[in-house]
Amino acid sequence: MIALVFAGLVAVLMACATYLLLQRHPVRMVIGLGLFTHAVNLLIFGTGVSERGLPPIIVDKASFAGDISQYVDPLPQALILTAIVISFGIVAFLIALLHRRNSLEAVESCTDRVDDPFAMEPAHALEGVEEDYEWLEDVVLMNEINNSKGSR
Amino acid sequence: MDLFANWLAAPVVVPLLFAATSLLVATRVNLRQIRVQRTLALIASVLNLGVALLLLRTTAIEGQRIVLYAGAWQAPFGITMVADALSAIMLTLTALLMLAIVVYAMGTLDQREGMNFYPLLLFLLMGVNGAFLAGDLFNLYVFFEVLLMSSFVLLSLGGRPNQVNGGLRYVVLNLIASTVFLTTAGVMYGTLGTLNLAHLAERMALAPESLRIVLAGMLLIAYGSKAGLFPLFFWLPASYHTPHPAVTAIFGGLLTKVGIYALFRIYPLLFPELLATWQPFILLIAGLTMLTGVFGAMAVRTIRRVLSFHVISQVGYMVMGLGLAASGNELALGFGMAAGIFYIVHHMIVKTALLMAGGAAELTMGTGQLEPGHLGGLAKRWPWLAVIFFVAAFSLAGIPPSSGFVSKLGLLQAALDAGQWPIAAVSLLVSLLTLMSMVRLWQRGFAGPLEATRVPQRSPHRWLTLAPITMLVLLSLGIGIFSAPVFGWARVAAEQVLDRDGYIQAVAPTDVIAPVGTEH
Repeated sequence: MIALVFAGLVAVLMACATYLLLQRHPVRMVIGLGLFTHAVNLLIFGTGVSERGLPPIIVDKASFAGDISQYVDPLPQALILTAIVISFGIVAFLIALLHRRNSLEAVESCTDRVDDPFAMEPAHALEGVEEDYEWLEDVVLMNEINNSKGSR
Repeated sequence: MDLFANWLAAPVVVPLLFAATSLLVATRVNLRQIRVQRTLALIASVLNLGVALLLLRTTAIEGQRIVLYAGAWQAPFGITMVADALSAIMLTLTALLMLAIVVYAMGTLDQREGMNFYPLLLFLLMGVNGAFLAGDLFNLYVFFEVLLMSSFVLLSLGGRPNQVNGGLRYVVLNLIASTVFLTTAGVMYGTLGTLNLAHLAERMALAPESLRIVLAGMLLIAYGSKAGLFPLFFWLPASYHTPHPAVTAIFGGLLTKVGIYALFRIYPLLFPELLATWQPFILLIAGLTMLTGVFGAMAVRTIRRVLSFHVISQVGYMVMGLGLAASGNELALGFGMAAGIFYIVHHMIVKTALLMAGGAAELTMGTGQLEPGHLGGLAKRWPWLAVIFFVAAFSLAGIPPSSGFVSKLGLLQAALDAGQWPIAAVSLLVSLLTLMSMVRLWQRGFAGPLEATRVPQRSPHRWLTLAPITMLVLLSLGIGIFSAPVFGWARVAAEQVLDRDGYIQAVAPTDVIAPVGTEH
C-alpha cells in the first residue's frame, strides 16, 4: 500500500516537473528542476521503506535475535542525503546564474520570446569573442570595491 | 598488493588536497595569490601524472586489476574503487591534459586567473579521476556531479553575457541528465538490492528482460547526453565556445569522454547481451552522431564552434567502437572495442591541442570569426602556431603518420571484419568531410593575407602557450608512428572490459543471499 502511495507521489511530481520544464519561463524551469530532483529522491526513498519499518539501529549487537527484514534499509536515506545536497547546490548555482543574467541586462519579459528561454538582447547573443575585455575589467573592479566595502 | 591498492585513492586525494590548499590563499585578488595557485596546480598535476603512470604500468602492461576497499569494508557494503587498464589509460590521458592545460592557462588567461581558476581545475580533475575509478554506480554519480559542479563554475567564470547564457543551457541539460542517472541508480537499488558494479553484474541475470531494457535505455540517455550523442548533444555547441579558450580546451578534450568511459564500462559489464541485440541501434546512433557533428561544423563560422562540433562527430567514432564490441566474430570481438579505446586516446590528445591552438589564434587576433576581414593570415603573425595547428588538424582528419590515421584504420578494419559496411562507409565519408572542414579552417584562419584586425588588449604569452600544444601534437605523432605498444594497451583494456567474470572475481562481492540461476 505504502509503495503505491510513493509511486503515485513520484508520478505526480514527475508530471509536474515535466510540465514546468517545458515552459519557456526560466523561473518555472528552475522550479521544475527542483521538483524533478525531489521526485527522484522520493523514488529512492521508496525503495527503502517496508510495511513494518523499524528504525535501523541495533543497540546491542551481541544479543540481537530479531529479524533483519523487519528493519528499514538505511542505505537509500544516505543516498538521498547526498543527492539532496548535490541538487540543492546545482539549483542554487542556477538561480545565481539567472540572477546574474537579469542584472546584466534588463530584458523585456522573457515569456515574450518564442524561440529561446535564455535569449538576451541580440547584441549580446552574438557568437564568438567579439566583446572586448574592458567589460570584464569592470567586473573585477566592481568586486574589489565590494570587497573593500565589506572589510571596513 | 594490499599496500599498493591504497594508491588508488591518490588520484582523488591529491587534487582535493591541493585545491583546498590553494583556496586558503585566495583571500584577495593579487599577483601573489595567482603565483601560489599556479605553483600548487603545477605540483598537483605532476604528482597526479606520476600516480597515473604507476597505475598504467600495473594494469595495462602487467594486466592486473587493482581493487581498493575503502575502510576495509567488503565489496557490496563499502565504497569500492577499481582500476583496470581502461581506467588507467583514461587517468593517464587526463593527467597529461591537465598538465598541458595548467601551462597553457598560465600563458593565456586574463583576469579570470584571479577568480580561483586553478582550484576549480583541480576539483574538476578530482571528479574526473574519481569517475574513472568508481566501483559502484552511486559513486560514479557523485563524481560525475563533482566534475559537473566545477565545470559549471569554470564555464561561467567571469560572468560575461554569452557565458551566462551558455552556462544556463549547460547546467539545465546536464542536471536533467544527472537526474535520469540518479533515477536509474534508484531503480537498480530498488529492484536488485545493490549498487556495486560487480555485484550488479552478478545479479543482473536475475532481472527480467524488460527491466534490463529499461535500465539500459535510461543509462544510455544519461550517459549519452553527457557524451554528446546524436539526439542529446544540443547543450554542447550552445556552450562550449563561450568560456575562455583554456576552459574550452579541457572541456572538449575531457568531459564528453567521461560519458563515453561510463558507456564503455557499464554496457559490457551489466548488459552484455544487449550490446549484441542493440548493435544496429548503437551503430545507427554512432553514424548519426558523426554526420550531424560534421555537418554542424561545416555550418558554423567561428573557429571554436567548428572545433566544438567536431567533438560531437568524433564521439560518434568512439560509440562505433562500442557497437562493434559485440560483433559475432570472436577475433573482432575485442578488436572493435580496442579500436574505440585507441580512438579515445587519439581524440583526447589531438582535440585538446586543436582547441588550445584555435583559442590561441582567437586571442592573438582578437576574434574567432572565420570571415574575410577577421581571423586570417595568422601564419604570418605567428608561424609556429600555424605549423602546430596544421599538424593537429591533419591528425584529426586522419592523415598518416598521425595517430588519427591509425585509430580510424583500426575502427574501419573492425567494422569490415564485422561485416558492418554501412558504418564503415559513413565513417569514411565523415573523415573526408572532417578533412574539408579542417582545410577550410586553415584557409580562413591561418593562410591568406594578414587582415587588419583590432589588436586584443593582452596577447598570450608565446612560449607558455605553444609548449603544451607542441607537446600534445608530438605525442599524437609519436602514438601514430609507434602505435603498436599503445594499441597493445588498448587491447588489454578491451579484453579486461569485456571479461565480466574477471571483474567480478577481482572485486569479489560477498553475497548475503546467494543469487539463483546465475552462471557464476
